[in-house]
Amino acid sequence: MSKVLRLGTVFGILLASAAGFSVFAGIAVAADAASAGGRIAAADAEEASPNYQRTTHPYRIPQVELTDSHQKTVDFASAIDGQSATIISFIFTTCAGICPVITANMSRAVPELDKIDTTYRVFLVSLDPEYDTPERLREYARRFKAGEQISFLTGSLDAVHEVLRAFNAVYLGGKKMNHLPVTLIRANRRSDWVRLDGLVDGRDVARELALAVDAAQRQNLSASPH
Amino acid sequence: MVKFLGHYARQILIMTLCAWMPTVQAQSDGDPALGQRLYERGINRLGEPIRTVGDEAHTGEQAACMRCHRRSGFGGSEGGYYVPPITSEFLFAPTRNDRNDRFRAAFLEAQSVQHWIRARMPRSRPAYTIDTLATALREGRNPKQTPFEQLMPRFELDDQDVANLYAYLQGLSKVTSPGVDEEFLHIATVVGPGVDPGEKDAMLRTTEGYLSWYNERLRGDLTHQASTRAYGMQFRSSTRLWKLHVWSLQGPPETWSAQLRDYQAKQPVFLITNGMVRGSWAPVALFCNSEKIPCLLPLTDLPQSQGELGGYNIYYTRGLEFEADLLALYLSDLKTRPKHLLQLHDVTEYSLVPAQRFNAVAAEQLPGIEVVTVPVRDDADLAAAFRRISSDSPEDWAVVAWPGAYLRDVAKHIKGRKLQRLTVYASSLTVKDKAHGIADLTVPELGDRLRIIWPYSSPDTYHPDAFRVRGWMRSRGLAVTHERTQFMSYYSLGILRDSMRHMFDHFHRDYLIERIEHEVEGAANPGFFPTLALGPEQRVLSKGGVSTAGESGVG
Repeated sequence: MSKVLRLGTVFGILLASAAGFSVFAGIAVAADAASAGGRIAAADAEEASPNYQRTTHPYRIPQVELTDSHQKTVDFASAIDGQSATIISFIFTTCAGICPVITANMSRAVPELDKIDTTYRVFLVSLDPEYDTPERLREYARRFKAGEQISFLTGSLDAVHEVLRAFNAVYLGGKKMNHLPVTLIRANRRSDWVRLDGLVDGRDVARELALAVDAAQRQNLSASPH
Repeated sequence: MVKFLGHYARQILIMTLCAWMPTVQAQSDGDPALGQRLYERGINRLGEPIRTVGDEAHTGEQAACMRCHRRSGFGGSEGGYYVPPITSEFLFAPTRNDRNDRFRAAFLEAQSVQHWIRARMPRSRPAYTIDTLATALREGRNPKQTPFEQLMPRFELDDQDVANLYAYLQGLSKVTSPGVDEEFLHIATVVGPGVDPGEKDAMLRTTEGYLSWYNERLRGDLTHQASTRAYGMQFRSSTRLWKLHVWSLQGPPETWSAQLRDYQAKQPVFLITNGMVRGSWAPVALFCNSEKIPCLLPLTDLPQSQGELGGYNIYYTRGLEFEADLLALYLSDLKTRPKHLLQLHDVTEYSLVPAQRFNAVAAEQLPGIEVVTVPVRDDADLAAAFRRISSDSPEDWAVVAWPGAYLRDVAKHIKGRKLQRLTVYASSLTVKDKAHGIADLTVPELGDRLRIIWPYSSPDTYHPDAFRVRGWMRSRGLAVTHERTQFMSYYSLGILRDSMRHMFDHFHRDYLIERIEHEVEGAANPGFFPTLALGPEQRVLSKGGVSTAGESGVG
């Protein structure tokens, strides 16, 4: 079951196609704003019309063991089902295109996330676990100046694919290079997952987490006895 | 007259463009070498990592042009995003609505809806100039002022850096790689002296059989152009018959490089595939790297010892070095590890290479295990080696015996010293390969105490795609005499076919490598390896293995 909260991107695509624009419409809005007034202006523009699709899903967390970049075993379900808010995305270290952007965006999101009144954890799960050893993930994290708030996870191919299946993130055509940019956000263990399809800027990650936390708090209040 | 009008119209167009051009100034005296460094490594003219606007985490190599547009400049697709080609041919000419290129982007990729839409959108722009290139790099707009996607960074580059990059891009993939002419794509396979005649014959029969089959299909399409399958003949300019050249090497490995250069001088080839030599593949690999010739999936246990990233050599596995790594990983995962490991090797490369590698990885990963390495020259050495194992506590010991003729006496010494409970680890070569003077260790005396390091799929794995290869062999009348050699030979040519299909008439070797990187993971795996995959700049397809005899898998 999934609930589509915003269809702006899809309509945007059709509109752009009709108008003969040469770029993916939602992105074009953001890029235009960025070129006009820098990243802050872009973020403001995106607030009105983000360049990603937002849906919510009650995903089930798979019971698998992964390994972090410090070679520690991570019980994925336990790590996710802790009290903290959770952000998950998928990358691999030799990825040529979107992974550096996803990782840089996540790294840039951290100062913004720190301002939100919640504890949180960010997990970047490798799509290429056979190549991405903990050492390689450590080096990758260093390149992006990713702090300790961001955990890079690898593991067996089977375990990673269980995670991908659980979050409906299996890549197309059996090729990891066809993977799509997906960011998953959850405020707490009782909340649904917010799924963001598309490249999400660091500010947007923080804003979406803030929104999710806010929604979860309101849900708690309305559920508590008067 | 027509020519005159065309020239006149062009003059008007140039004048119009000049009047419209943005005011960004960039120098035109660029250094292509510095431009290449910027393109590939993200280093500016001052030797500093390039920076992107408003993004401190996305700098230097991570933000280098090559990351997305690739070494060849032909771009690609990833994550639903279409990365356009920026080779000289594309960048410095108006958008060409080339049927081949649009077909590839629109139909040859299993991609998302976003990519599907993006690939079909109408788009056109005039040729880039140095000034419009500067605008594109700094402000993210193309010559028609259309903004780029977020994926394309906005760079902080000064005029000289733009000029350097401009100079490099003007030559990027401008000249077709050698080894292709109007009729043929020339392919070589390399056969070294002293290889097993049966293996060599099986590899050559399969390779020649595949090329005959490929060419027959192509000729059939060419003569039946009205058929549906011959739709591809719209792309006649991009089709070439494949021509095989068998490069037979003679003499010692030190002379191979000169022989390979002679072959290449007489008839340049576009790529080398399959092939086998006795001993290290390194001389061939070094030749491929120096000449920038893709060397696709040679049948070797001793690939060139190199990093797993970059270069022109693509391997199935890292061979015996990989087996050494697998053993270290396996031992580190054991609940009850031996305290001492007797490592035996002889003086051949098949033995020395894994022994040296194991010593290096054991020092890092197995701090609790004492590795006692003994070179075995004769039976006396072997006897002395086994005397080091204390008969009081043989359970504290294990043996790793790397390939060599001496292996035939290992069981005798184990039995003589009453060490039947001793676990012996041995290379997969001790089972599969009798061609290199390596004895078979799968003898009854060792029984289930023998553990084979197996860089292949588990022996009892069902291979769902193997039937395709067997069916093809049968239909071509090829006897399956050396299954692994033949299946691997078939697989490499299948990958080549899938990859070439995307290239159309862009015959550039770097582009081929990039297409191979992309195609491998989705191709039918005939099953000898657990998984076969590459990523950008990755050069080793298989990264997993098992230890046989019922223990848990490693890799």
